[in-house]
Amino acid sequence: MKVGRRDLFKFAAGSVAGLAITPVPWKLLEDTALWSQNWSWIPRPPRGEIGTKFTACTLCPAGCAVRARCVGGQPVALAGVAEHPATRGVLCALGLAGHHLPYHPLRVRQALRGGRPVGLDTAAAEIAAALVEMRRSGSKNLVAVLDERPGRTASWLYRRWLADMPQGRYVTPPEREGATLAALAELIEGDAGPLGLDLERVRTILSFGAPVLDGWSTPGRVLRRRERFQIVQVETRYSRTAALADQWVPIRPGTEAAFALALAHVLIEERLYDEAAARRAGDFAAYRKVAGEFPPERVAGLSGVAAEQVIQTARLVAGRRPAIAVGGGDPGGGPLGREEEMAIGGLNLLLGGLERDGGIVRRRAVPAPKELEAGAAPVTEIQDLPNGSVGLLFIDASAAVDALPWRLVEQKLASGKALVVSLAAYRAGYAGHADYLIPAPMYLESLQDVPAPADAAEASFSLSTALVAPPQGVVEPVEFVGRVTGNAGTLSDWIKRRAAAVYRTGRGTVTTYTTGKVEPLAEVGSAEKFWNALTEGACWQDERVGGRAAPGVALLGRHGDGAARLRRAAAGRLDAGEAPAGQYPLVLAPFGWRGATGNTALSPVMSKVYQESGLRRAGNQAAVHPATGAACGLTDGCRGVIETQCGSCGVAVFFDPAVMPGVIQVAVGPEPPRTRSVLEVCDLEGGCSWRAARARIWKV
Amino acid sequence: MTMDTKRKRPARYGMVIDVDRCTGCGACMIACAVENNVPPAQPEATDRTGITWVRVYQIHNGASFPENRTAFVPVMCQQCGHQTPCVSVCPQQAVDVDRETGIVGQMPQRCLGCRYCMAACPYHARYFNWWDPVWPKGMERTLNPAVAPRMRGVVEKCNFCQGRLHAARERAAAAGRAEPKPGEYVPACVEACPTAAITFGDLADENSAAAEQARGGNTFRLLQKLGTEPKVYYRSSRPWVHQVAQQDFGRRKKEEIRG
Repeated sequence: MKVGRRDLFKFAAGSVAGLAITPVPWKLLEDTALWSQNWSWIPRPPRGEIGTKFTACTLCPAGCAVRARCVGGQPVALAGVAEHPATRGVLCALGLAGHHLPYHPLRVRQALRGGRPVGLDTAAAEIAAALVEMRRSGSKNLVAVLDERPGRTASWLYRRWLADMPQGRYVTPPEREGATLAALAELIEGDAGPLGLDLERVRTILSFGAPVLDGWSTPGRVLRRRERFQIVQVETRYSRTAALADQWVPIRPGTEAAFALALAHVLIEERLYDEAAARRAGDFAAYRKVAGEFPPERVAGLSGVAAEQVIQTARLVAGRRPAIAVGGGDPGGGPLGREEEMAIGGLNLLLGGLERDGGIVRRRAVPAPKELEAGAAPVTEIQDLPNGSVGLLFIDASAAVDALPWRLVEQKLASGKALVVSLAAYRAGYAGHADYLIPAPMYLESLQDVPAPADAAEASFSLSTALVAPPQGVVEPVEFVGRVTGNAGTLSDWIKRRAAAVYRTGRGTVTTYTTGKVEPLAEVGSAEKFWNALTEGACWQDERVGGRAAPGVALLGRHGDGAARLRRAAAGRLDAGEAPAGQYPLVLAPFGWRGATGNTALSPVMSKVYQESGLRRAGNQAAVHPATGAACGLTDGCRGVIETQCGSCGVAVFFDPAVMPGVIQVAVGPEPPRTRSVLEVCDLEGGCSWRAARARIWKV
Repeated sequence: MTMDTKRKRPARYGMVIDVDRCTGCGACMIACAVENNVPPAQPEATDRTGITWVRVYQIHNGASFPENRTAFVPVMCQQCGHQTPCVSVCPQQAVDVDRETGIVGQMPQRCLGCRYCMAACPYHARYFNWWDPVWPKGMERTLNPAVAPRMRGVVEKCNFCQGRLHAARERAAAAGRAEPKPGEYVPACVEACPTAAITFGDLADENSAAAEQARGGNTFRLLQKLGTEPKVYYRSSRPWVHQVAQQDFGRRKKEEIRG
């Protein structure tokens, strides 16, 4: 048979056709898919021995216990510890990704002066020289440490060292979550000591804007007992807590004091208050008079809440006791004013929740070494510092949580000659404003102590142990400040001394995470064994303080001007400001999420809840009611500019029918915004912190 | 002596999500990303192109202030049990339903990236890798060794943390049992939920907590009319949540994205 050219073509065509019905091309296709996925640049997870380590989260004051799954000693996943008596296995979204933070792109790895690298020793010598020069010249300017996480052993060291300096001041941000308790402690006669919330037995929480269900208190104490209490959320914003509250009371911004007094008015008029508790108040008659000036009908006009709803709310709260009223403000929007907290404190007394189970209870402070407690500098909140008084400011931003506008810090600095030293792990927050940026270790990189959060019902103590090595060149903030001010000390040694001080109390119990075993502290054996237990995964919890003789209470404060201050605050915060309502017809209300307010960095995978899903609003995203937006010429998704008396900033505008008409809700954080932060245009002078300011908005 | 570690009957793993408990905190999304090595977003990624194996949608009752009401609905692969749409369209057999567990599995190694499955999925629970996975320098040390990162050009989705199932089975086999006990195998999102809003278990086991809740009142499934028989159930006492759940809110949300 002769094979011709045509036959070859036929054979080739037939082969191709035949091949198509064999598995070969499909197998090749599949193999191509496999081969094309084995590229060298696709990261390969590490290999190694799998184990578990325990630590405690220091990203917020709650100090949740953490179980870290480690591969070759490196944490690859974090989870809560169900055995922990307070945190109950809960870890928030930020905490779940905490092991990413040491590798964040914004990480500071060497000291910076004016944004340029400088040796750590050089920086320390220059700052020390500036301090010497301040002293030599007889400057009256203050040397202050702004500690963003008071209560730690490092905080006690700051206080002790600053006490030895005539110009030394230990400064903290305004009280937030503990503000109601701090205000109550001020109202109680004598030394009230620390107070706490008995969330384990409460039946009703009356919240004035506190994010009870969204990063507040110790989340495990709240979220795992949600069915056992009702929430009445008094808040302008339809927040996550408002959405899941049993009752949401939307009030106009800045009218919390009026609303609290109206509730007090109803409780008193309808005799729903605890009369035995009220007898403790020596100034009850004067308080009653002030509350009497704010009947529901008047407050309806101020707050926008119908008089009937005010009455119903008072009856509901009074009918479900034990009840507590909490304020504290928003992590991004700032604290409530002190007068608001005073009014809320008064409600707690009327509801009979003061020093009662299920209400506000006394607790002991976590012991500190006597050498530190004796003669420690007093605590000054930053707003109480005189303006223009600080010559050298150290900012320990290694544990920053809530927002604090730079303008508030800046106005305390001596004009033109103040030196600002930021001790932080990231180029975020105040880093851009500081003269020196000193790299600090991050969560999981150094030993830290975790004392009880501000609202805990009993003292507690645990350790956040180092699970990864810090980069070379970072320095513990308190040790750097000690070096500059001539005080030697190693933080880890002092933490160990504090643990020994806790051990010496002989009270309370120790819970071991691996076994869930709870044993009395007295039976641990020795301070060394207690320390070993803490480092391997355990926490100490104090006993509850028993009932004590109830001292007197001054509902209007102990300074004599409480009634006048309360009246002014209740008459309307915004109206007390200087911004004309005609020029600024809207109200700017910033808000944030605890730990994500832009003061520090977040794990890059937090993009899942911001950028990739829009579940949470990123920094400088503004939500307005569609009717408000239309009236201002805005469109959904447009860019806009917000202006207040303090300046202007750019925002991304979104329409949201859940927003109160006339209000602009702007998110604070989470990353440093490229545009000017909305915090920097908020009104600090209006007396209502920075949670509300008159504003206007337009499209660009 | 030998032990019988062969399964007696196939399981049907599923979950019940209590919408009334979900605070929309996002812990499930983060725990999922950490567990399954889902990379952080590229700068240009959006709501449409990002990868979230579980995504919490915020739904509304449609009213305006102050009558507005909101709920948070976590949506992951619904693990369809009947005529699973993604399985039927995949030309590569990169998707299959495990008869032993009922879990709809995705094999990125086989995937060609045609995205037919994404078009077919009525729940918008499948995600395409538009970029190679990149973690900031050093962060690759924190990856979970039980899950391989996927590369650009393939589709991925929730598989009820199959790596955890394998680990739990290994532990069960070591203990001489055929299958993990209830609670020994739970996906990362279930473990992370701070309000315990998600109950996971074997729906084929009538005594499991998940099966009991699935049978209970106020339970519904997304887009029930399609008849895909998802193994993810939802609960809510609010009627409007049931109504919105029957609408394609995932698609509507994604179509709202500009650009």
